[in-house]
Order: sequence, then C-alpha cells, then structure tokens
Amino acid sequence: MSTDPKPDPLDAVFDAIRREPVPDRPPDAELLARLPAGPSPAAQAVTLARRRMIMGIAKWSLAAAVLAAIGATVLFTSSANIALADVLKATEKHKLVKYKATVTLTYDPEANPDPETRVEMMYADLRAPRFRQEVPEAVRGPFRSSAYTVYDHAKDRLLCVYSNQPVDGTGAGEKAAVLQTLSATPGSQVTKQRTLPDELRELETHKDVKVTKEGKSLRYTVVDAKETTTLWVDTATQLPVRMVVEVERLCEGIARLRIEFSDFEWDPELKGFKSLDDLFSLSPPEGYRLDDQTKKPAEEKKDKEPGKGPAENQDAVKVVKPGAKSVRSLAYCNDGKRVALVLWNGRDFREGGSVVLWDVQTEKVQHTLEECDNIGARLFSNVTSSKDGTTIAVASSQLGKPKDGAWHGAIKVWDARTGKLVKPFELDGLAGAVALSADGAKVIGGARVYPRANGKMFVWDVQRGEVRQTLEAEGLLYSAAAISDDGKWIAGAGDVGDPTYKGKVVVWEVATGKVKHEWAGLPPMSAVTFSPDGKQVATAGPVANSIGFSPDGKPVAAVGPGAAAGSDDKVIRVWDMQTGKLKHQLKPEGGGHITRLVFSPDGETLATADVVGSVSLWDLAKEKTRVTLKGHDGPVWCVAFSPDGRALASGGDDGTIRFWPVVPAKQPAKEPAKKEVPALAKEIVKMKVVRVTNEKQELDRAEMTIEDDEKIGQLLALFPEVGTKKKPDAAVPGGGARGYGAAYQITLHREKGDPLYITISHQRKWWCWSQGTTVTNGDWNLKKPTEVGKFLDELLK
Amino acid sequence: MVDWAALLAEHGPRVWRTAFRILKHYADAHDCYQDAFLAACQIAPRHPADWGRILTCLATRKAIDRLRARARSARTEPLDAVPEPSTDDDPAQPVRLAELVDRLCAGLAGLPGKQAEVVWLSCVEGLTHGEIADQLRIPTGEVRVLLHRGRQRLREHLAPDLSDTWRPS
Repeated sequence: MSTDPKPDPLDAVFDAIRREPVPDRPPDAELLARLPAGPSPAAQAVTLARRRMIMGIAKWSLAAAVLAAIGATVLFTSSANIALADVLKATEKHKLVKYKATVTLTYDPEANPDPETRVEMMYADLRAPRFRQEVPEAVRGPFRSSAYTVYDHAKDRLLCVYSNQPVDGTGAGEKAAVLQTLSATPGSQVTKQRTLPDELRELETHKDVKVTKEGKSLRYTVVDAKETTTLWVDTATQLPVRMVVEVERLCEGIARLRIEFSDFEWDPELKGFKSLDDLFSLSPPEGYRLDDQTKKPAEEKKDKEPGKGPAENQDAVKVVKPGAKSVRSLAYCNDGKRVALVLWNGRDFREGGSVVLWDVQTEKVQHTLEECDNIGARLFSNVTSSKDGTTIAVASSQLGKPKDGAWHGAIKVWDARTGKLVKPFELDGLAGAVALSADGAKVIGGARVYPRANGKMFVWDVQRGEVRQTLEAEGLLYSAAAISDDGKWIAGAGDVGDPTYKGKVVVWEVATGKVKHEWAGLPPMSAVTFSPDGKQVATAGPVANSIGFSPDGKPVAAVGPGAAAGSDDKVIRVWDMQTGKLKHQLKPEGGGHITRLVFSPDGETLATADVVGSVSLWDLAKEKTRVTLKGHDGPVWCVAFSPDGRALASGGDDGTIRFWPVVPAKQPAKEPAKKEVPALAKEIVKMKVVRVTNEKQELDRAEMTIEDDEKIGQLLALFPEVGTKKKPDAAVPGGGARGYGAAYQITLHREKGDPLYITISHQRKWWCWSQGTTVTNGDWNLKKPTEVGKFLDELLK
Repeated sequence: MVDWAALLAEHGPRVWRTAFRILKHYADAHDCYQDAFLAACQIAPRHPADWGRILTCLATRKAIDRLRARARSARTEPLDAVPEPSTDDDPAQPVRLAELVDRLCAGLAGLPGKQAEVVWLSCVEGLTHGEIADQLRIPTGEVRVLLHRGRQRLREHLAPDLSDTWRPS
C-alpha cells in the first residue's frame, strides 16, 4: 500500500456520506418486544428501578420501595455489622411505618433548568401488604388539589381519593374517589408479587456493598451501572433511617432521578384514625362521591343480554379494549386500517397516558408514539388525522415548573404510516385545539393559556416547520379547531375564560386571514367541525374534554365553565357558513353534554358523543336523532367515521373502542366519480398493470389486464397530466429518468395509435411515455404515493 | 442476558445511522436496524464496551447484504419496456457530490460482501484495521488487502466523475 500525498477524492465522498443528515429512527417499542426479556443479574437493579420509575414510582411502587428499603437492610447487613436476623426482628417488632418520600427529577438543562420535586407521605403496614400514600395539598395548574391512595394487596383493591378545587373559587370543584381492582390496574404487576423475599432475592446479587460508619449510623452504598443506592441504618435500633436511590440518565431528557425515603417513624401515633384498619380503609371519607369500578365488568355482561334496551339501539359490531382505562381521542388513519388513539391510564390525565397507532385488524398497538407516567405531568388531549390518512397530529402539553404551574404545549405531527415524528410545534400554554388540513400539509393549533390568553391560532407548514399564518381572536381559549376539507376555512372554538367563561366560535377565511364569522355569547364550546362540503359548521359544548373530568357530566370549573355560563345548554348548533346564521339546533333528549361531533363523509349525518355513554346519529334535515347507539359505560369522549363512512368508532372512559355499522342516509351516489373521468379514458380500451417490485423493493411481480372503464377512470384521475398537452419537465432527460428501476409499469392500450406507458419508479416518481420518448410527466414527486400504490395493489389482487 | 433497553438507548442512534446511510430507505433501514439487534441476541461479548463495534458491524453486514440483494434483483429482472436511462447529461455540468454519494453506494453493492463491509467500516464508521480484523475474525493483513481492493474498485466505478486531476495509478 502506498500512501498518496494528495488527498484522495474518494475520501471526500466518504466524508460527504458521514455528513449526510439521517432521519430520526423509529421508536424501539416494537423491537424491544421482540428481544429476549429479562435483564442480566448485573443490570437487574437498574431495571427494577427503571420499572418502578416507568410504572410511576410515586403512585404504584413506593410500597415496593419501602420493602426494598427493608429488604436492602437485611441484605446489606448480611455482609456487615448488623446481622440479617436482627434487622428483621427489629422491623417485626413494629406494626406500622410512616416515612417521607421525596422524588426529584432533574431534566437536561436545555430542556428545563429547574428540577421538579414531589413529596409524599407513605404509611406501610408491616403485618399485611397494604399501604397508604398521601400527596400534600398543592396548587396544580388551576386547581388546588390533594389526594391519597390506599393499596390493599390482600383484598386486591386500590382506592384513590382526590379533591380538586379551583384556585379562584369559581364554579364547583370535585371531590371524588375511585375504587379499582388492583391487579387490573396498570403498573400493579410490579408491586403485586413484590414481597420481602422477592426483594431480597433480587438484591442478593449485589456483591460490592460499601459500608462506612457515619455518626450513629452505618452507611451502605451500592453502585450498579446507572443506579446508586445508599442506605443508612441506625446502629442502636437496627432500623433503616434513610435511603436514597439515584438513577443517572433514566431516559432521554431526564438527567437524574433521585428518590429519598426519610423521616422514618416506627409505630407513629395515628391522628384522626381510630385504628390501622381505619387508616387503610377502602371506603372514601364522607362527602366524596365513590365510583366503584370493580363491579363494572359484571354489569357490562348484563347489558349485553339479548332483548334488553330499546329497539332502536344497535349493537356495536366490535368491542375492543386497547388496554388503557380511558380512550380519550381517536382518529382514523392509513385508509381506515389504523386508528390513532390518545389513551389515559385513568380518568384523570395525571395518571399518565399514551398516544398510539392501533391496528384495527390485528387489534394491536403498532406504534407507541408518546407515553408518560404520572411523574411527567404531561397531558395528551386530542389526536386528529388528515383526511388522506397519511398524517396525524397530537396536542400534547407538559406542566412546567411546579411553582408557576404553567403549561407548555406542543402540536406534534406524526407520519401515520411509519409512526415517525415529522415535526413538533410549540405553543405557549396548554395545547387545546388541533386540526390538520385534508392533505396533511398544514396543521393548526391553539392554546388554552393559563393564566392569560393570547387568542392566537397558528397555522404551520408541516414540511417547512414554520408558521405560515397567525389568526387571532382576542381572549379566546381554544378547546377545538377545524379546517374545512377544501382548506378555505378555519374554525376555532372555546371560551373566553375567567370570569364569564362565555363560549365563542370564530371562523377565518384562510386566503385573507380575516374573520368571516364570529358567534359569541354561547356556552363554552368544546367541539367544532365542518361539514364535508364546507357549507356548515357544527358546534357543541360545554364539556371540559381536555383537562379534568367529571363523570356525572358536570363540566369541571376553571377549564369548562362555572354554572353561571349556562352549563345546562346541551344544544348542538349548526351554522350556515354563507349567511352566518344558525341553521339547526339539535336538542338531545335526556342525553348528556356533547363531547365531540363529526359529520359523516356524505355530509348527511352528524354523529355526536356524550358524557352519559351514548353516541347519536342525527338527521340534520329533520333535526332528530336517527339512531342512538348505546353500549359505552360512562362518558364517550371521541367518535369518528371510517373513511368509507360505513363504520363509526367511538371510545370512552370504559376503556373500550366500539365499532358501529352505519347505514348511509342515502345510497352513496356513484355518479360524481364518473364525472371526473378524463376524456382520455374513452380512448382507452384496456390497461395492463404490472408490479415489478413492492414497497420494500423486493421482487414481487404481479400483472393484471383491466377493461373496467370505472377502474381506468380512477387510475387516470391519479395521473391528471396524462392525456394533456403538458410538456415533460426539463428534469426528465431523454426517454426517462436515469438510474431508476420501475416499481410499476402501466400500459394503456388506445383505440388508435401506439399504447401509452406509465412508469413509476421506486422513488415513486413517474413519467408517461410512448415510442421511446417521454410524453409527459406529472409532479415529479407523486403527491400521494401510498394512495397510488394502494390503488394499484388493489387492482392486482 | 442483556439489558436491551439500555443497549438500544446507547447504540440505537449509531446503528440506525449506519443502516440508513447504506440503504437510504426508511422501511429497509428499519428492518435492518431490527435485524442487527436481533442478531446480537446470539452474541456474548467478552467485554460490554465491545457492544458499539459489534452492533455497528452487524448493521453494516445486514445493510450491505440487503443492498446487494436489491442490486441482484434489479439486474435479473428484465424491466421490459422501461426506457434506458440516458447518460449523456450536459457534460459541462459538474457532477455533484450528492450524486457521487449515491453512486458510491451503488458501487458498494457491486463489491464482494466482505470487501464492501471492510470499506464501509474503515472509511465511514472509522474502525481501525485491528478492530475490523477482530470483528470479522480475519487477520489484519487481510483487512488491509480487502480495503485496498475495495477502494480501488470504487475508484474505478466512480472514475469518470472523480476529479480529473487525480487518477488512481
């Protein structure tokens, strides 16, 4: 090998390769599921800690952690001054331990310079597997809230008691309790089987325990990869006095997690409780409304018995549970093959949740786009999809520094096919409203800013990642938004907040950015949608559907309205876009407040969901419900039509998605489709479609000759330039594109003349040619590659 | 047994970069990325610090295999009636570096698998000869030979477009 003194140009090319930008990699959830489970003994402690964190240490596993603390004592002492049996004996002398748990999250400085701390008081029964966790009263966002949770593993029950009172005293707060089956609660698997011996076995793998004497106590330290555990044991009492677990780089964005257990009190005096059983009681205190969820499954079965319920009710074709407590938002994407879901782990966003792409056929989660536990204080409010199904957008917010209680929102746009994040757009405040244009190129978002509104609705260009337009409606707090299918109109709906909470709906003309209609003085609005032809806009409210909840249908104060704003108004209003006048007023009979509404693709039917568990299909002309679909137990939060309009999906607080068959109001007219058939279609007698390779560029040959005029017309509609006199772009040299193999080849046989060929390359570029020269080509990049691909694959079946 | 979540977090970005740069196709790169980790299940490294290199090598191998398979199927499949790509672009137009990058990757597909792997690992991933020899279980001398031959062939592949002032001897 000779060394050339001159720089090798080949290296310049390699350099260029290294500098090429690479898109973000897909989420690892799917891969992780395929990889063998179970960590190595060395990594076990880390994973244990991580599992605790991920499942939500504060809510679910502090109990396990205190066992770990005791277990750790036992273990550590086996190699130290205090013997195992002695510590066990020392703890066994007591009935109850009370201690303070301080969880501190330190973020990456650029993400959030201030650490977040939460403090909880824990009580653990040392004779039975039951725990009580108390969260001190604090102001969280607009609420002053307090809560406690009792975990009783022997009875397999969990009771969460909480109170949310609006800080400013407007409207009614809520005092409620939820009783759940512990083993059916997410995250409980971690704690369920974790008993003292388990913790012991897990921690016995530690060999390198450092012991130092510190005053009256002994300090034990275990360093295991990212996790450091330190425990202080009192030499006199032989009881643990303090324990600190620190995890470095728990996950992306979180630089450090620190959990400290301190202020141990053994057999503390019980204040306000008669006995231990009282402390760990599974009934809520007086004045709290109890929602007993442990009995619900049995009731559900009863409901399904045939012959029950009114005759007009239809049964859902399919009832599925995507595995969360509550389905908060839902949108069809990928031609109806998937639905994007916002799932909450509880009826309160503070219990964490996730945004997933869920496959309708396999009934499985395909991609988890985002998730958070109850540490993160994140709120996923709404998900929406573009009409072409390629793109979805999620309104997601993060509660910032604990002191200012401010929300930091974001509208995140995802590719529905790959599950890849396209762009996040930041919003000042709680991201309330989100909508996508039909082609997914534009996304709009508006915030509920706490404590002050700026009333701005942003229109972003998804590809360029920049603000394209800013629309304004002074003082409006957005709860919902919509873009008409033709992209000409944008609507924002919400309320003006404190003190009147009067609702308002504003419609802007996109071309000019000016307000076209403004309807004020309404009850607070929580849903808005355009009819497919863009001639009507429907609104409803008020329900606080983005924050807080109220199972009895009363909107939550401070976000929804107070009683003053006329919260008994359940009217669905349909406005005429041309005149701006109220066209229809639909009054649900005996139903609850409307959470969400959506037009059917044919525009004839309006579907609504309400807080008492029904989904209604309205005949707009008659202003009457056509059918009421009952089956959901509890509030229904979301409803969506499948792209073909034949099914309706709804989801709610019972954790189910229900798919209902829909009979269109009118038989879908096929005429309009034929009108669009280009003139060229008449000339074409038949076409041959050949697939050479598939999406993955693997050899997958198939061919089909088609003579159906309708199909030929549909195909030509996808290539509008074919048959026109449009000259090929200069970028198409000679007879085609260099270096591109064909993915599809279409031959169009004409009555007269040579056949026309359309070649589609792997890169989904296409050109039409005849007699060896390019006749025309379309947009050099096909706008809707999947649509074309899907259509062709369908033909080839 | 391995803590896969930690490995994915640590080495995922690099493995993904490797796969994507070779294949330039999202779905393919994703498959390849997953394959690399799945293949890693069979491996017990002598030292945990080796994981980065092991995974990079696995990703490179999987991606190059796929690249070669792609090239093979394109060759054997007669694309009847597909117009020949014209090669006579405006000669005055200087060849852009980006195009050279594309062509180099195409050139990689034409090399014997091992040569392509060695070239990529050395020239793009920046592994030393010793590290490559260790991973591919071949002598260091062979690494040098493969690298030299591979680069020679790539140069020939790009020859008309590479700088005129420099020609391989």
